[in-house]
Amino acid sequence: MTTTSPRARVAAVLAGAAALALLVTGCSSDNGSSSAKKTDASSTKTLAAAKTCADGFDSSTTFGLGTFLPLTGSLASLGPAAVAGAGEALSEINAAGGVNGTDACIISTDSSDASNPTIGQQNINKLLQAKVSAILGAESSSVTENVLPTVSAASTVMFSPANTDDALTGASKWYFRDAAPNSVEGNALGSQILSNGQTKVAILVFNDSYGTNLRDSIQKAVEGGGGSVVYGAKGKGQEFPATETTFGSTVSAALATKPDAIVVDAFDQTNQILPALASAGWNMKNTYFVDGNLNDFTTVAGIPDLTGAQGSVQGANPSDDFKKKLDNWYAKNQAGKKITAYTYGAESYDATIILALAADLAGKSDPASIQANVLTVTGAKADGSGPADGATSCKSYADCLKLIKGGNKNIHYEGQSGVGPLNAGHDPSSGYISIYQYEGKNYSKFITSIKGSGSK
Amino acid sequence: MEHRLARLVRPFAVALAAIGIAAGAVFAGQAAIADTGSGPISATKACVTDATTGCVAGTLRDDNENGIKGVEVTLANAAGESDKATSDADGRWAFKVTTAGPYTAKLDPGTLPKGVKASTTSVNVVVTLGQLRPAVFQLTGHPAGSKNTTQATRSGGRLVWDQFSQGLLLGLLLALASIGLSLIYGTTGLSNFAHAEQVTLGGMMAYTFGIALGLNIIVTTIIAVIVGGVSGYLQDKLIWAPLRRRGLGLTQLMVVTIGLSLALDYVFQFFYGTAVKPVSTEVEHITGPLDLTPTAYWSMLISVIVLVVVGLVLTRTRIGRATRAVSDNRALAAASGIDVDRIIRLVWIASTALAALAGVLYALVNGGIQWSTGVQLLLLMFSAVTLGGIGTAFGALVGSLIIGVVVQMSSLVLSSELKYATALIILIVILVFRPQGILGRRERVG
Repeated sequence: MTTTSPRARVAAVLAGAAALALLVTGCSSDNGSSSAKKTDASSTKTLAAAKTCADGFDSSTTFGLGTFLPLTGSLASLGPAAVAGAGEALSEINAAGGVNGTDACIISTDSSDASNPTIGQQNINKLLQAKVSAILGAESSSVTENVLPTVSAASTVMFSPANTDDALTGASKWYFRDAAPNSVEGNALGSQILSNGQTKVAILVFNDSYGTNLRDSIQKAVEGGGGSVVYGAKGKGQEFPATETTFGSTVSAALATKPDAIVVDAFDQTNQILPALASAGWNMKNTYFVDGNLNDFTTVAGIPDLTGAQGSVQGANPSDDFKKKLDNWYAKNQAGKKITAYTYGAESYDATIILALAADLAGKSDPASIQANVLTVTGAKADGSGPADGATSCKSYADCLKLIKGGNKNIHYEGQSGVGPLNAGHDPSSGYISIYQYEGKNYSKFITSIKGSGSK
Repeated sequence: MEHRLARLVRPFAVALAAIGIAAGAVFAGQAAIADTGSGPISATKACVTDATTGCVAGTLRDDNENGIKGVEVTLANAAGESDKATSDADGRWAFKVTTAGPYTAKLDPGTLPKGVKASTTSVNVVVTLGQLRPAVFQLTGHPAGSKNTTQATRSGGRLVWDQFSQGLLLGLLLALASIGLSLIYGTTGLSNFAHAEQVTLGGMMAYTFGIALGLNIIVTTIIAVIVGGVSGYLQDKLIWAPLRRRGLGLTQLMVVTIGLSLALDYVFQFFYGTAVKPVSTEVEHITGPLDLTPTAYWSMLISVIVLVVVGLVLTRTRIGRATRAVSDNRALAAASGIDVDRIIRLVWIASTALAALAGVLYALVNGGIQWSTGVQLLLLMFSAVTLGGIGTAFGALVGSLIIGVVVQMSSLVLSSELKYATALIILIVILVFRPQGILGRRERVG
């Protein structure tokens, strides 16, 4: 994935030329199988990663996905799942014959985080110069907000598997997402806290659009259900700066309000907040996590025992089969490295397949063709005004592709993440939030899955 | 494994619940008490929502946060259909509901244990299928035998004290980190922007040796300080001494330090990534008069001792006197037989070693170190030494304490976002009235 040997590049070009030749001769129904890799036992075998796009590839004939995911920065712990999700999806796409008969390729870049905007901007420019078909990313809402104007101006599709900021609803006609917005998650988490009998809630929130938006919706749910937010409430000015390095004072100020429960609404700062909470004598089982920090802390030194703490995350609980697929793909293609959190893995997988199917439906994989067909493949009407009537459901890329090749233009890709059709604001019309509980330092106990409807 | 287990168990749980409901219905038919479990409502142990099921659930806790067992809660709708749930050992109760709409949850006060009172016994909820609706009953008091598991209560005065102790801690660590900045300025006139990375270097060494290689913390600290000192020696030998010999101006030298600072930041990112690196494996508990952990007390003590020693060395020893002579008039010092280059090199070694020590301690008390930790502290360090009087050892201490305490205590009255701004505004105000800083000139040592 990282290097392309000259031979591989020649092979890719040859494969592309062969596919093109077949297309030209009008062999439309068979070209898929001729360039398809091996057998259809793809579901059990761990697939090799898609190739890196060649310099100057033509995105209208070759589906080139630019990934823009957090490989470094405060969200880096969530990077592997998304990389594996997108990677596995591309591998499956190629195993099923590619997009419009040509193998899909990938350019993977690092989005970093909102505190390091130059890295993200640089990599977005790299992807735009390479003229990719679509960009998968970013995970941080703030990073997306930084780069989206550039991406929109370049008329390229940007599909985020993880942005949850409500402000991104309808942000651009080029922007889509399949993660349930914060309002859905905040509502679910707030309700869960209250149903656990905890009514005085302190929220340790960092000053970032992700943090404060999620805080707002948690607060709404808590107050709406008869509880109160005693620390970190909106307008109190108790958010800590995103670059904060010392948390003793924040923690003792929060504990002074005598909360029943503390929500840690932050990214990587959580690694420093948890020891500070434990030092101050806080009972860790009354701690709540959000999707940005619901991680497996087993290998992190200095983290207290978290047994009993709970947290929320977008998406239905990914099936064990799917998790295993991601594990295997990542181990095979990333030199045996391991995934520690599966958050947004399913969303990344689905986003990649939705983009590829949109290109299949259009017959071309340039950004404008994909943009016009994304809503349709998610089972929505083309203008997003509601679910399309009589859309045929299909569960995998291969199945959906079969429908499209069979002339069905009205499909509904039902993915792994359980999101409903996208709406006019390019948000999922409904989505699942799962609540997990920590056992030791890992969130291994699934509590419940709550379906919520998206905003607007 | 857990998920697989959950998946296996869930159908059984549903089946059991179904049997329970059926049994309940049979029982209701025979018993005189009409516990019908009728219509769309059914009590359950743990409610999981799906497309056709909504949940109404809650947890009853006494004021010691212990669950209350055996309390009866009834959920009813407008049509008069209802079911009754009894709270479990954790105080949990839950209902499954299969029709959306308004419901009322009622708590039977007669079933509450002695000593517990409910201020609300009836809660209205509107159920949406697929969602969880919490119902909160406010309870006061606790039954006999309920242990207090809640936090020690903190009064308003306690909060001020807590923030003050955090300020003291930050101030002392800042002093340790910034003393080197002050010394280098004092002897060479250079504002060293790369000093922040010396602090980060110390923390990163603590991670490398303490966590990655698993060495004892005292050994780790000593190694980190040595690495810091060696980096100072090499820097002076390879960069600063040659530049001094070439007679580069102070402004250009300062720009070199800025460049070095940025370069080192990227080197840290390259080797350590951008995540927070832990330096301690233990979770400590706050003890003693201040709102601090034992490590924090030790850090403050070490900081005070080191600062006093540095102050005494500067004022009482030959090397200290030589250092001051160099800073007052380098040409005169050289003419009177002082090896100026050797003194400057010593100052570099001492400054970077102290910064490394500060980095180790800062990382220890703040739960980790990151490539940007030093950079975040840099402006505070400059403010502290300028405020105290740049070039003086005790000035750095006084300035750091003021900055630390003001930063941490400002959040009592102002927005947390403004805490660093407050310190910098104070700096500007003080300098307007006292340009040399609080201890400037009068006690000029370096």
